Amino acid sequence: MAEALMVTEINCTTGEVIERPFTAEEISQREADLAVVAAEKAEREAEIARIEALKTSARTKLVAGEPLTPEEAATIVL
Amino acid sequence: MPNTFTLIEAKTLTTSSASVVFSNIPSSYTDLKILYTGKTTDTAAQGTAMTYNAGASSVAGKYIIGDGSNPSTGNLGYMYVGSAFGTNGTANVFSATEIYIPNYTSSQVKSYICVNAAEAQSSTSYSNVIVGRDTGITAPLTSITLFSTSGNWITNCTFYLYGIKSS
Repeated sequence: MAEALMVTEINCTTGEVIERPFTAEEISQREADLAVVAAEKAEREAEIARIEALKTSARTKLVAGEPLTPEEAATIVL
Repeated sequence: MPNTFTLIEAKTLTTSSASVVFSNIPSSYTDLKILYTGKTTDTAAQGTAMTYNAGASSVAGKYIIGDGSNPSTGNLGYMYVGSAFGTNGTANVFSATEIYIPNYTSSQVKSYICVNAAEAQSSTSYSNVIVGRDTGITAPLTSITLFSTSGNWITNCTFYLYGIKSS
């Protein structure tokens, strides 16, 4: 059985600190939050891979004396 | 310009927690500041995140991150508040994060600025500067949740919430 997700809640009006399991609503919210995080991470990694591929292609074409596409040229720092 | 700085609450975790919530935040200040030191149970460094009022966030903003060799920048997809190391980091070394939230009781979109340093002394370190806003919440902020995007906060992480207002 999976360990229960715990939350530490600090009540800023009363000063009371409660350590308790997540409510069902909080679990749903956490799943939604982590899905957004995973989507953002996948998008960022895809963008990094795309730029790396452009750089590799640009280097290969430069060595071979072939023309670069505008996107490939944009990866070169002058 | 707000010129007083009051500690509202402070907590050092005595048990591992998936999230830390500052709830029932009083509306008697103009701005909020959060300081925390974080480390997680994950085996790798992870992004950490924040939500307002226990709700889904609709976020816009930018981050700049440096890992010592590959500085990069990008758009925020969630309320990113920097990195924290997990068990791969140096023992007893925590990330340091500062978040500033102006006008948290206004009926406008709530922005934030954040500076974070996550350092594992024998490995890669991360530095973050983040400017963002939650475009989905215009109600006054009454709660703020901080969590790691993987793993739990470990014991001895510390969380401080300050209120700032004009004297």
